[in-house]
Amino acid sequence: MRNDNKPSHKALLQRTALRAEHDPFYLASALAAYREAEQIDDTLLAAFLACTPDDLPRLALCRRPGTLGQEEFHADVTQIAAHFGLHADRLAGLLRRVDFLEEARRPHAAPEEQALLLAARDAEEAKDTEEENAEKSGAKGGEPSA
Amino acid sequence: MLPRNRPARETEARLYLRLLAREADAPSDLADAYLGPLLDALHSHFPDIPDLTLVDDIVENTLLRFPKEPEKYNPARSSLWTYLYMDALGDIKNALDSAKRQERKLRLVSLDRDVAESEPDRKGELEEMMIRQEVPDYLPDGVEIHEVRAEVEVIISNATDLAVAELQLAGERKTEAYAKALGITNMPVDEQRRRVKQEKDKWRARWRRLGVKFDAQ
Repeated sequence: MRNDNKPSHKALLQRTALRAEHDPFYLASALAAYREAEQIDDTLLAAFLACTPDDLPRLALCRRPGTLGQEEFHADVTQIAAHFGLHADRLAGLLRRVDFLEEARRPHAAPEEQALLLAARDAEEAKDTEEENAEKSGAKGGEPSA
Repeated sequence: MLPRNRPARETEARLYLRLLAREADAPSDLADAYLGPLLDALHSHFPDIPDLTLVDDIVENTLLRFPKEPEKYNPARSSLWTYLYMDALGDIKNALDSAKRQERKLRLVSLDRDVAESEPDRKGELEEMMIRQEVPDYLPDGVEIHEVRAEVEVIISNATDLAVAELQLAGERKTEAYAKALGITNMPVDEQRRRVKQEKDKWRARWRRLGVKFDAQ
């Protein structure tokens, strides 16, 4: 039987979130992929999304937006962002980036498909740059450098 | 402080509806509300479990699995708490049974190796030794056949042996059926009969040791 040194609720959620990283149903999978791609830690990830590191396990245990279909993507992102007080656009951007990376890594992606993905990514980056220029200062939490 | 108390019925009902509606943040709230209380309850149910992480792993899996198929739960039959608790409990029991079977199998493999190495000419007696070790002669009179069958399935890994045992348990008497199970239908009929008899005799002795009596034998 477990003794009195029970893990804290936070530690339990962290463990579960870690397990969920291997399950594409959960947002944890996308957060882990983004962290790895951007070579950032939880503190930077939390700052990017405008939440605290303590929020990350519960955030990670949300359903990953888009798992029901792309039509629900924005509704899912909005709901999660409202629940945790996140920067919704950044969460959406993070998910689009991870989707792109995962798609590009698919071994059977045809060259034409990859070209389309690259074009989509270029458009995405151009949009991000525009947004960054528009914001310039004042955005909560800095975007981690790639 | 940990929220160790199980959620109230109203909270459960609201959460379940949100899970059914596939709200993106509902799975997180499910884990948040149930993880601690379920772990506490199940650790109390299995106070002497050797692998402490087993309960944790299974509870986590239960909570990660449920949001994918919330329709499996019927609110008319039980509370969500009871459903999740029973789901995890079943998985823990299965895991413990599986570990037990694996341990027994390893023990038998070890015995197999020991006998094979020390007495290579007695390998034919090996299965009988295993049965004697696993199912002692002092089995009570009222032993159920299905119990013996379960034991034999664990002990005998050889597919042919199992097929012959199944035929006997089913009361099959035809030589043809046994010949088929033994894979000797291409042999001359006399040879088939001889081998089938030999196999039946072998099994008759085994059943006797297991305390099973067949009227037909």
